[in-house]
Amino acid sequence: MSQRNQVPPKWIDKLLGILIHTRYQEEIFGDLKERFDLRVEKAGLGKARWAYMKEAISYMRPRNIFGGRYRSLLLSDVLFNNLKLSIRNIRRGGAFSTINIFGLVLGLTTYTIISLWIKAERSVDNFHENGDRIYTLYYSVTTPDNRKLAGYDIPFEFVSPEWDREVVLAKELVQTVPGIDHAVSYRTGYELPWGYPCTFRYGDLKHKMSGSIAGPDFFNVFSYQLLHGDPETALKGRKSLSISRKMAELFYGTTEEAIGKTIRYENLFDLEITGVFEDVPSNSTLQFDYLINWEISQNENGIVYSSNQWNTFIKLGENVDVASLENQIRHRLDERLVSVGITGFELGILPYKDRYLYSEFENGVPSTGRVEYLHIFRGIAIFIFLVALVNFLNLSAAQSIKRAKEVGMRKILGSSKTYVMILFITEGLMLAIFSALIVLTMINVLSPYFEQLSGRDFWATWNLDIMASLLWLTLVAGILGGLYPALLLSSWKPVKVLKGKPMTSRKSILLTRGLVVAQFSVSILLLIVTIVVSRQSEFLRNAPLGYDKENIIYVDVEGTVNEEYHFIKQQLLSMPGIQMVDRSSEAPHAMDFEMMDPFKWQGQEENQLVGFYPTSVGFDFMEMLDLQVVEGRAFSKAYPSDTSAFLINETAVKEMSIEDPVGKWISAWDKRGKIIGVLKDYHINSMHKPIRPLIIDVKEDITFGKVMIKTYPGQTKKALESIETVFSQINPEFPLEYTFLDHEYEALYNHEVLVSRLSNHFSVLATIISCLGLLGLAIFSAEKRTKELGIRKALGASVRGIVALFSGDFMKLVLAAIFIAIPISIIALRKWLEGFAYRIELEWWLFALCALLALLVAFLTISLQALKSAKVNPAQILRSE
Amino acid sequence: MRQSDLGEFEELVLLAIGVLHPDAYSVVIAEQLELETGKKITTGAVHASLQRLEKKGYVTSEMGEASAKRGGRRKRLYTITIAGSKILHDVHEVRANLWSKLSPESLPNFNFQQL
Repeated sequence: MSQRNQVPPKWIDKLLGILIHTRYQEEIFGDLKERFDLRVEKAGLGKARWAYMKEAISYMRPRNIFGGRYRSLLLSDVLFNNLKLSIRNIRRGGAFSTINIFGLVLGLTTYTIISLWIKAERSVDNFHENGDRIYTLYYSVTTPDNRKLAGYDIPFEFVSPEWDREVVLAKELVQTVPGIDHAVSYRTGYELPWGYPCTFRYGDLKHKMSGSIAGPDFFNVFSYQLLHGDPETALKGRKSLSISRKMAELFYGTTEEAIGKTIRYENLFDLEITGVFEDVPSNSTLQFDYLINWEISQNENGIVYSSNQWNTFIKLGENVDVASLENQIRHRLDERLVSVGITGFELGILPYKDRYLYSEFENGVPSTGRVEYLHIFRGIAIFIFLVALVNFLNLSAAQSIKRAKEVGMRKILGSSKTYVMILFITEGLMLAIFSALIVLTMINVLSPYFEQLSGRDFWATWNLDIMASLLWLTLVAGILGGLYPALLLSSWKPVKVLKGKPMTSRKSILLTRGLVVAQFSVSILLLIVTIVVSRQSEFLRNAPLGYDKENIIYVDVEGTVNEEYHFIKQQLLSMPGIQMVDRSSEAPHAMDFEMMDPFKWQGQEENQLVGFYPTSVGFDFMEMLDLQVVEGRAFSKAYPSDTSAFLINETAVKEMSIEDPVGKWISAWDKRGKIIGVLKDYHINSMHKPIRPLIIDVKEDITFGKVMIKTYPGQTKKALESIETVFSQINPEFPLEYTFLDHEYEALYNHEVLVSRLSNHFSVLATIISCLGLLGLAIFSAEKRTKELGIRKALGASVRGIVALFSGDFMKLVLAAIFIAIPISIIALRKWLEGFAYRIELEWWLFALCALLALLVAFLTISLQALKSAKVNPAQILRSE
Repeated sequence: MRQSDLGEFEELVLLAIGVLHPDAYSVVIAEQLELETGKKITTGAVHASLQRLEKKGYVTSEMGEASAKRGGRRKRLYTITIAGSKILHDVHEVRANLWSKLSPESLPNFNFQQL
């Protein structure tokens, strides 16, 4: 190795050059260099460089940094003196100190609460042992009409084209791909479009439970805690069932009692309880009260599936090359799929802990989703903290200017610049630490509220990290809050200060004003964003869907409901409160089942495929939902042939690219019939998704779906009693469970509602903090200009004139902030809104409103102070000189 | 009093200064101690210890010659003062006294190869 290369890391030398006091630099650099060369000889360059760093750190002690002179200042009577002075100054500050502390407390509290929320969100699905080895499969496929479909739930037809219910994927992967230790298929039995909670019976006890179907390896992949039973066997045996603590206690009182018992499922067959697990924590995306063995479920009819799709999770061995494994899996199904005419299908894997955060796919790859909200909120947290910090700096500086004479005096009596700095830093730290204590109390008080709002358990994730970051921020705020005024003050010439010459330099005024502008820009930005976000979510929830979702209750088709449907309908219609009864194979507000292959139509071109959303309904469906027919007619009992007829929507007509659809034939699976009408497009799912082709037929005999009941407005209670009576009579084996369509629809927007509520809170907070800052500056400015205002008054200025003069200065700053914030918000919001299929326009009055609001709030804040100073008797002010 | 006590490491450093006299400075002291104790000893720790010893009055220091080894920088050379000499002797005396009163049986044998 050449001599030239054998030098210690340069950056360390630079750092030391800055930190180490000049008095010690020579000997220390000499020591380091000599020792380094010795080490290079003995141990080689790499080790020597590493040791050099450690050596350098060992030199960074207060004595070497401060030159050994201020050691006593930090740790002696002077410290106590400083503390005493700080407390006196803070107390003398009165309202000013309170405003200062209050602002910092608000900022730090907001920051910490957002951090807690982010931490809680990140903990979702991130608690499994060896979690970094658990992966989820996802698929992507290019449809014939060139859309890219992708998701974690892999549809049946891709995994098992023969439509048998074999678990092709999970079983095959473990057997054929090296590196995969365990694989498990999983699907729920209670979610839309087809699922519902299932009824279990033990003796006379009947309860509806929401559970899932999982492969026997489930407990080997995930570490949900088993209270009784063995991970190997809990889901392995014939008809074995694992249940949660909650379910065990519901049926058997204790968890021990449950094990080995036989329980009846959906009044169809018996299952044996082979495992009891601890209730699933709320930060798990897989939620289930029971698990049924997958393979058994394939051979037994009557097990409830929520859809034709399922998840596959795999657990890798240690030190497996993930990229090469993914390559092995990627085209695993090609051969089989090509033989049935499906191409462009790919499988991919993603760490399981990221599945929740990356919920949306772009170009067939999970790329965004909830994680975006986390980034946004992280940004908001930092912004709010910065706003509070700026406040703290500005207010501390403003207040300390009053002490210019004190500092001047101190300097004349021989105190050094460093001492003045230490004095101010002590004061800043005292304020900050005091604020931090209040913050801890505030978080204690507020966290239950935010936990309820966000549906997450904060304390589960509360840990030292968050405490440490709070401590850091406190220290940063405290030190900066002391340093800034100290630098400002100690740079003035004591002679000038004591002579009473003007003390504020142009630079410091510019800086203070710049900071106020920055602060208000952030607040206005947040204000605009909040208003737009909540308007968008309001828009989504209230936009006309094209159907009437009010006053509709639905009940699952289960047990004897299908057989007795006509009787139930007749009974219900004769009872009070009930307007109309019909049925649908899918919940109409959240249709999620798309198929292409089974659909053929007159005029279809070769290889033309359209993804249809099929549903089967009763005759009164159109009337109940108030659906509009644009061409042809709706289903009617007057035409018996309507049982083999179809309705489609406008989007379907467009995608099928046919003209005059009415009268043409269309077929779904083996049912073929005429299109008798075209429905006006209505939203078949939430507003996040665009309207897709819809095909409806009449079928009043299917074993699944929903019975839909429309009640008279205002008679919900009576109607519910009626429903209870009828169903408990006809379907006694199943406890009644009903759902309100409009509530269910609302639930599709939970995330938006949460985000808009949170941002509401935070933008108000930011505005309050900014106003506190403005108030502080106004108080300060008023104090500084007392004499000027006194003279103006003595010379005949009116109160109104003084208020105008005084507020004008500040209003200019707020105006500047408005002009900064609006363009930024327009760019950011445009981008955000692009993510929605249906969105609001950004209208100019929105921005005008926010601007006006900011001006108003700022004006109110300032004018209070302006009025106060304008009303003072000039004689009193001017007398003193 | 705080001023008069001598920590274990300080004692070693002080002895090393004596051993290396008249050429005792931080790097050679650290190297010497590393050799004797078999432990990693940073120059920074020795430097800190030297500063403390100097403050307590057990050593004095002056800047020596510049040398090419140190990139042309001077080193700080340390010599033991009378107070330093006294405290070393005191400490040694206390230890020697105690050793002389110690009966050999009271110390369990740890050198197993001799057994």
